[in-house]
Amino acid sequence: MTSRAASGNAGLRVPTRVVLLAAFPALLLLGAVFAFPIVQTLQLSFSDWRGFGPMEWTGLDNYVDVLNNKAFFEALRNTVVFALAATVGIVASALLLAVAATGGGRFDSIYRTIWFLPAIVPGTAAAVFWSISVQPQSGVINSILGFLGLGSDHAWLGSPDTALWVIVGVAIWTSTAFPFLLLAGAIDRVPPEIYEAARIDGAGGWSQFRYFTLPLIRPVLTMVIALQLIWNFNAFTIVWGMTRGGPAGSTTILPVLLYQEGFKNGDFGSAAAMGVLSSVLLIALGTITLRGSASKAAGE
Amino acid sequence: MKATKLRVGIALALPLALVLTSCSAGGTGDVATTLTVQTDSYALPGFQLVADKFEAENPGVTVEFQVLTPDQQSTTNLQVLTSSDAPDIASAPFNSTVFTEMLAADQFLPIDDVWADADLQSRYGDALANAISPEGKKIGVLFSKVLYGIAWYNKAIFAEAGIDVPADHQIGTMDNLKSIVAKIRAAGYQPLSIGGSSNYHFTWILDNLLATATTPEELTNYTTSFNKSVPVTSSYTDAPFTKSLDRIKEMYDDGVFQDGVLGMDQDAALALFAAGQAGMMMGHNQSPAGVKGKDSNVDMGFLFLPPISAAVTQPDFYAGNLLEIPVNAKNPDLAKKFLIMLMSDEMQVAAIEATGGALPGISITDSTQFAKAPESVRELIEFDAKYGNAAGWASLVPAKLGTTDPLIQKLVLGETTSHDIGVELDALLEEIRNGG
Repeated sequence: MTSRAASGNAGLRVPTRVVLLAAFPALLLLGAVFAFPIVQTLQLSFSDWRGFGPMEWTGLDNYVDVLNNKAFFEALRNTVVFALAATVGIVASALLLAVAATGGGRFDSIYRTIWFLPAIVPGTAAAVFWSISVQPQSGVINSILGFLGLGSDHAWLGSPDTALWVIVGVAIWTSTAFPFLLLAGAIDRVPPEIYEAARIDGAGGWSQFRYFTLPLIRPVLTMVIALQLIWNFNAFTIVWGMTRGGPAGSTTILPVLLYQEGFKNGDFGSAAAMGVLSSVLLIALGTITLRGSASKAAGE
Repeated sequence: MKATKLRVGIALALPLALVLTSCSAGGTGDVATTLTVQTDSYALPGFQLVADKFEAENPGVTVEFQVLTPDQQSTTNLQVLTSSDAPDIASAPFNSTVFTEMLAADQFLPIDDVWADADLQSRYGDALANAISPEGKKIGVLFSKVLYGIAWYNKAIFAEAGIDVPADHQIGTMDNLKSIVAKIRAAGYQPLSIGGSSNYHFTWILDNLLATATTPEELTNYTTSFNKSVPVTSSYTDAPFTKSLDRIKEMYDDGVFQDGVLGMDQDAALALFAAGQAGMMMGHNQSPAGVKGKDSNVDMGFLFLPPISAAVTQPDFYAGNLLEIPVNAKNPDLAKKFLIMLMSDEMQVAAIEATGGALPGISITDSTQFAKAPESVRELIEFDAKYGNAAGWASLVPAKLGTTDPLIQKLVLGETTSHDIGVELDALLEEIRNGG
C-alpha cells in the first residue's frame, strides 16, 4: 500500500509504512504533550483526587456535583459574557487600528510600535496597575472623571454591576496588540491594484473596506476571532489579579472557579469535571465560528 | 590529527572539571548542602537571623528561602510539598487545605525529637501545645503567634478630626463607631480600611465579633465541630453567628468601611492607611511593620470594634503558623536542627525586633523581652496580657468552611441573608464531618 504525496509531486508514491515512520516522532510528541494530559484530565474528572497520591474512581459523581452547583452556572454565564465582550472589543479595536496603520501614512510604523506596547506588559502588572487606577478618589480614572465633573468616587471594581466590564476593558487594552499586528499584516497583503480599480469605479473608503478589505482578510480575521474566543474563555490572570472573582462572585469566571475548587478546596476531581465541561463548550463554540466563516466564504 | 587530539583532550577535561568542581567545596572535600526553608515575607527577617547563625555553625550548609504568599501557602504549595523537589522545611498553615491533606496522608515527618529537644510542650504551654498537635501527633512547630482583628488608627487623623480615643481601646458601641466614622469622613478621610476583595478580611471581622457574641462553650463548639468526634451543639443559623454577620452588614450600610471596599485588596487597604488617607485599618500585630514597609511614618494606635453581647472585644489569636518537615525532604536531620535553633529563646526574642513586632511562638512572660518591638505593638502585648484574647474561628476550622468572604460580600450587597449563609455553612460542616 502506498500514499500519494503532495499535489506538486502527483506521480511520486511513498509507501504508507514510510509515511507512518516519518510521522512517528511528531505523533509521539503530540501524544506526550497533548493526548496524555487530556486523557489524564478525563480520568481525573471521574475520580476523587486530593492533589496527590492515587485517584479513587467515582464514576459520574463529579459531573453530577458540578451540574447541581449553582456557582458553576453563574461562572459559566460570567465566562460567556466576558469572552464574547472581550473578543468583540479586542477584534473591533484591532481591526480599527490595523486599518488606521496601513494607509501608507508617514507614521504607520510608529503607530504599530506604540499600539504593540501593551502586549509587553505582564498580565499581573497590568491587573495591578489598572485595579489601582480605577479605585475611588485616588485612582487616575476617577481623578480624570472628577476633573471633568463626572464624580471621582465611582467604585468600579467594588460594584457587581461594573466590575466585570472594567475587566473586559483591561482585557481589551492588554490583548489588542497581537490581533492588530496580524490584521495589519493581512491588510498589507491586499494588492493595491484592487483599491486603485475600486477608486476608479467610484468606491469610497467604507465601500473599499466593506467589499474588498474585509472579504480578503477573512481567513486571518476568522482565526483571530477563534483564538480570542478561546483565550478569553480561558482567561485567569487579569481576573484573579484585579478582583479574585469578587465582589460576590460577579467576576468569577470558570478558570477562577476551577482554581478555587482544585487548589483552595482540594477537590481536583470536580475541578477537572468543570474543565472538561468548559472544554466541550469551547470546542463547540470554536467549531461553530470556523464552520460559519467557512460556509460564508464558500458562498461568495 | 591535531584537531582530533584537541577534541579528545576537551572531552576528557570537561567531565574531569565537573568532578573536581563537585568535590571542591572550600577545598576541604566537604559536599555543599542546601537547606531549603519556606517562609513568608513578614517572617523572613527573623528567619534570616537564624539562617546566618545556622550557616556559621554548620560549615558547608547554605540556607535557601522560598518566600511564599499566603495564597501559595494555602493552595499550590501542596504540589510542591509532595513533589520530589520538596523543601526541607514546609510552611503549611494549620487551617489550610494543604495542611489537612498532608496530615491525612502522613506526608509530614514526626518531629517528637525536636519537641523534646526544644522542650516545646512546656514552653508553649499545654493548651497551645495540644491545640497544634492533631491527634497528639507532633508534626509541626509554631514559630510565631498572631493577634488579629485589630482596628489600627492614625493618631494624627484622630487628633485632626477631634476624636477622643478611649483609654481602654474599646470603641464600645455602634453609636460610638458611627460617630468616629462621621468625624473621620467630615475631616476628609476614609474611615476603616479593609481588604474587601482579599477573601479574608471580612472573615477577620466575623471572627472578632463572633467571639463577643458567643459563650466560651459555643465558641469552642464552632471551632472544633468540624471534627466528627465532637457533637455539633452550635449551628451556623444560631443567633450568635447570624448576629455577627448582620453586624458586618450594618457596618457596611453605615459606611464604616472605605469607599469601594469590595474592589480593594489587602495591599490596597494597607496602602490607603499608610498614605494617610484612611483613619483606621483592620490588621494584626505586624501591621505596624507593614505600614513601615510602605515607607510610611504614620503614628499608630489600636482600637477594638464594638462587641455584640460581651463587655469587651478582645484581639483574636491565631496559632497556625506551623513549620513542618515533608517526608520528601532531602535533609530532614538538618531541618530538625534548624527548627530547634529557630525555637530557641535567643532566636525567638531576636525575631521580635528583626520582624518589627512578630510575637514568639513560645510563651515569654518577661515583658522586658519585648522592649525592641514598636511602641504600638508593646501596648498591644500589654493589653493582651491584661484582657486576654479569643480564639479566631476561621483560623481553626478548615479553609473550605472558614473562607466566608465571598458569602459576606453577597450579604452586604443584599444578595443573601445571614440565615441563608448559616444554612450553607451547616451543609458544608456536615460535608466536612463526613470526610468531604
